[in-house]
Amino acid sequence: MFGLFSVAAIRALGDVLIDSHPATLAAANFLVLLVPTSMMGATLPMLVAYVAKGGASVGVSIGGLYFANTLGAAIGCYIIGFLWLMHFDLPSAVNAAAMVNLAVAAIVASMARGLR
Amino acid sequence: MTQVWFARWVSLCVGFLSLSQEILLVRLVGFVHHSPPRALSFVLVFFLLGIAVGAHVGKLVCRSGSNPVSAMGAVLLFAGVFDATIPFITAPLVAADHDHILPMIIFVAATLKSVAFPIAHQLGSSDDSSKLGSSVSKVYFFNIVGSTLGPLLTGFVLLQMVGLEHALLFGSRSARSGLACGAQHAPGRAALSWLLQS
Repeated sequence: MFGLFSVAAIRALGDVLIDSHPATLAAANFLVLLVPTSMMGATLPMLVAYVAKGGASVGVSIGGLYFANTLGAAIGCYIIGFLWLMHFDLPSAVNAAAMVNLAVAAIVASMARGLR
Repeated sequence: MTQVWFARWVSLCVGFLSLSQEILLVRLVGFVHHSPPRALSFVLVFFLLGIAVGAHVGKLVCRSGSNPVSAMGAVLLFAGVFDATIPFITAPLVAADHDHILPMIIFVAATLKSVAFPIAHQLGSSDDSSKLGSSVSKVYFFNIVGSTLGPLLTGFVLLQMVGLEHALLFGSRSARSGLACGAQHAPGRAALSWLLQS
């Protein structure tokens, strides 16, 4: 959800703080991004705890999860950096990422209902 | 230092060194032939691939039942040695128009340090299943703190004081020294410390 409004929010923040010290701008951007990044960061420990309950050790669980997570990050970086931005603009890239995020959330919610 | 704090310390150091090195590699690649945004994408792709493979290797180490501290120490020592060679191998290669070797250098540098990530979590996590998520998140927290401090200190402090080559060498020295300090208090510390200081 945040992703869909992030481009406008960050641009607006830049307009408001245009004459501010870089440290102030950095702190403001940090606060803006704190909530969504905290949520993303929280997923790894939760997933590790979930996978480890199946009997795998923590090292094996987190190694597998981090492999998948970082592989996805590499693929995303390649797609955005070398393909998408060659043909489309930055706001569309952010919106596309937000839509993928929402799709993943919907899939996970659906799977979670099925597991109960 | 307990095993848990050793794991957190290693996690912090690995995060610090990895992201510091990424900043330096972006600058290196930017000097070669890319604009800053393109250099960042270029480095990120291969750096993230290296991290992914390193995490998989770390998973295999955890599964193998071998001494994780010794394995981690050996890999990080090799990482330090490899990092120290980067300034000396990239310059002649780029000058000879062989800069296609840069992706492999970035990939290997990231892979070697990333092996420690699952091992550090294995060492730093609680056996109590009710506290598993909490203990994992604490090790991960230290990794993120290191990953945040690395680019800040490297980009805004280190690179202002020394050149790119010396900054890369500083990182390799830190990899060995940091782990040697932690090894003083970890199981198998005598052998590992000797290995790291030699």
